Amino acid sequence: MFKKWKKIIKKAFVKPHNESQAIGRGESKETVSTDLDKNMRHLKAVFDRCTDIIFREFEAAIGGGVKIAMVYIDGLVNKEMLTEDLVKTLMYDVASLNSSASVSDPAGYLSRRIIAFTEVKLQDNLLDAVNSVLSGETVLFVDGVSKAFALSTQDWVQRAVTEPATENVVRGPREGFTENLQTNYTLIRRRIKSSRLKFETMKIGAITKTAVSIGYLEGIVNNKIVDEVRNRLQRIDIDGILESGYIEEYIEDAPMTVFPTVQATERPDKVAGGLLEGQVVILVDTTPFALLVPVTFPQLLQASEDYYLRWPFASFIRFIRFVTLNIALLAPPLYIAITTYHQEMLPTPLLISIAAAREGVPFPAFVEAMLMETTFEVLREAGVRLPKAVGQAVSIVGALVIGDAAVSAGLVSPAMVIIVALTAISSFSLPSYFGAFSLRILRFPLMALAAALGLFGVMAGLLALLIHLCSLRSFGVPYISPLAPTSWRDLKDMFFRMPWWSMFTRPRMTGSKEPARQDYMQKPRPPRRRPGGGSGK
Amino acid sequence: MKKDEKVSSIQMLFLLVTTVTVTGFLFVPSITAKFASRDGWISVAVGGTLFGIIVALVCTKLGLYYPDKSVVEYAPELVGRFGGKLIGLLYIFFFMHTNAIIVREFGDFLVTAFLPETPLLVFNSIVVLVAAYAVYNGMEVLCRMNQFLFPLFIAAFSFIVFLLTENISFDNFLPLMENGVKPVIWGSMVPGAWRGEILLMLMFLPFLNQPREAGKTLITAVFVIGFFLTLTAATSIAVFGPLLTQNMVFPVLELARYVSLGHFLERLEAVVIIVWVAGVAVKVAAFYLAAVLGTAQWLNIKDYRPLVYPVGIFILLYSAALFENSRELVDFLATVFAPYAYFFELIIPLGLLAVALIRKRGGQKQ
Repeated sequence: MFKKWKKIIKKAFVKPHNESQAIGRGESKETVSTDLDKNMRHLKAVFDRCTDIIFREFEAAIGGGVKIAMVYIDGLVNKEMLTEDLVKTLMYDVASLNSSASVSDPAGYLSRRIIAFTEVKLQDNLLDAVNSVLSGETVLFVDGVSKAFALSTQDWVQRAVTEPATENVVRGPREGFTENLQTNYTLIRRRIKSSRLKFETMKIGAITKTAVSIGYLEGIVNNKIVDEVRNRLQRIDIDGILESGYIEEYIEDAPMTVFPTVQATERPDKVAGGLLEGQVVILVDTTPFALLVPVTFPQLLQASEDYYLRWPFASFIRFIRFVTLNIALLAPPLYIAITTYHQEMLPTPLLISIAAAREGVPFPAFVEAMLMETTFEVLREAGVRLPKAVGQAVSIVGALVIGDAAVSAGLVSPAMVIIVALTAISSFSLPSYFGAFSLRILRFPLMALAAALGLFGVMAGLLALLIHLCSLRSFGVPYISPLAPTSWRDLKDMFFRMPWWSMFTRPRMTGSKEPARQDYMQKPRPPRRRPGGGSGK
Repeated sequence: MKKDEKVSSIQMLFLLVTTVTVTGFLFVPSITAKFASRDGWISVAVGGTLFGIIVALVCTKLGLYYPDKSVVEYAPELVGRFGGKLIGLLYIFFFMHTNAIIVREFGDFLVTAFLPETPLLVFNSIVVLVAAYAVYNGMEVLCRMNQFLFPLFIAAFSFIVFLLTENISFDNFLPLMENGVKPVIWGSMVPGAWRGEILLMLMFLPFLNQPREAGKTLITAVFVIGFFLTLTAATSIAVFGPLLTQNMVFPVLELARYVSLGHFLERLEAVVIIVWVAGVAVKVAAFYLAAVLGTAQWLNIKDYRPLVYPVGIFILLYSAALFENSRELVDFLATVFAPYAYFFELIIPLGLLAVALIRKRGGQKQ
């Protein structure tokens, strides 16, 4: 049916830009020439009007003053290192070297003996050299050698590793991912010291050429999921990736749902935990948010702290979280349904006090609730956007307007204020900010259903929601998976968090390749004789 | 067909249990009490279960001749093109008709018990819409949804029965069978017809990932259903006595109203209704899926999805036009429904099985 439209749309959006054509105007495949001047002319043409690119030419102290040129971006390289280790070495120190007249492989000789850098790449192609310069490497050309040397001199201003902004814990590591991909690798590698931890990197974004990396634990992860992630990433064709959110929208299973089927997290310990359970992580350069797939809805309700606290506390918190999940979604709809249709369900004293509170309120419960919920969402959004200095003013205005003035002016009832406050606090108690988002949105249609059909409407809405949740999948894994389809052993880590020594297996859906994660019979028990108690006192 | 969709035996078991129990526990106690008075629970426990087991055995035996086909598909192979297509059509009609009755039961119940001023069609159309969404998403989603809801059903059910224990008086059961066995047998006709709804397996067998376990699944389902229905019937007789029970339309609802815990937990019928709405949505979806699947197979259409909405509209309109009022509905359930259902649940499958046995078709895959 839509074939015709597809054709029209395709015509309208002709396949854009190919970077290599834009740069070299057809000369892109040009190889590095032995003539230094020719190379430099080419590069200078490519980097025309790029004031941040530095070209430096000098003569080395070997080979009778062979001409050398280096190209780098000011600000992306470590200049001290360049001066000390490269320029000084080549201009003074190599003079002491006994440079014999002819070397059969000058490029190899240079990289082996003279250029004192840990990472040196030899490049034949000028386009590669250009890309190296752009990614912060220093590219070195030597007259008479048909290779370019790309030196890893990257060093730019970075944000330090700080506590993540979204998922705070009381107990647990305080490190969060940063915008730098290399730092993020190390944050994960520090936690998983295994050669089975693999990272595959690719460049996505025709212009931005953002490094995107897939990480997984070989042997634990389901290879089909890795292949699927790789395929979906390779299909992405876009000019630029500025945040992992771009990637998320391209690789989702269900693009038209309010529920996130990809988990974004700032916590390296959460990623490490996910990798150990067979999840795949997608790291994107220039963003502190890593993506974990596949993810299920119950996982969005789990915080990494659940695994660090002792299990009775963690289980209690899990239980509270299921309560707050229901409050966040259902408190306003239930309030509307009960006060509008089913007053008989309330105990009489409660009914009387609610009715007394609602006396004089000019709106029906639905309008009242919509008004307050919208006000709250506005305040919340304002609180996020405003500069920190003004933020306090907003909270004061919010508290006064919502909490006091609206009630004393008789616009809303105090009961409604309580409901909204309860809803707000509950939705903040959910660990995944992005999972809580979906509940925030769904609350509004449920409120409308409650106003139209009472409890029956709420129930019908919840059933449709349940069907929707059941129909979702995240990389092949059913979205509410330990619940339906039921996996009894995975329920140990669901409503409750059972003790670590009792969770023998990885989750069935992602970790079935190597299910056992520990030995049985590790329940600690006191030794027969107390240590140190044998002295017979 | 989406034959690549597979569900496990336990999911199928849950689906069948929900499907049969959810309307059964509302209507069966009062209907059986009409026939068998205080022995109604025996009718449910023994007679219904026996009939259920027979249906289960026949369905399994017949289905396993063609483990990857439904009755609509293999009937033409067994009894010839014309006869087979006719049987297929009859079954499609049966599923649609039964579904229309269920939708009507649902709407009538809600209008009677819950929102008396809302038009019947509102409830009917919403439940059909929700079920259509489930059917559109397929068997796997339906089963998963039911698997999620099933523990909630059990919890709500046990909660109410548990809270009623102080009101139960076992004297209401005595004397056992004072009028002989006859009323008990008559009383077991209706619960038997209900239990026979497991004939959905004739359509759903190809979805099982282990078709060999179909028999075990069905018989377990019959017993689990029997347990819940018997418990319901017995509780309402034990609490209200046979006379009150047979004069109530929905004894379970009255049971829930009866619960009172410290003058705080009262009027629990809301719980019953909420749970019941969810269960009926599953049941309607199951019959709906059978009807849509059957229609698609009957017409040799690869994908059943385009049929979901036409069939839904048919069911919806039929449900509104079927009965004048809810008394007529209960009367139909008590008198006509049992023999009508027996025809589809036992007689046709038995006939087909006989043909299959005689012709030794299917190569005896046992």
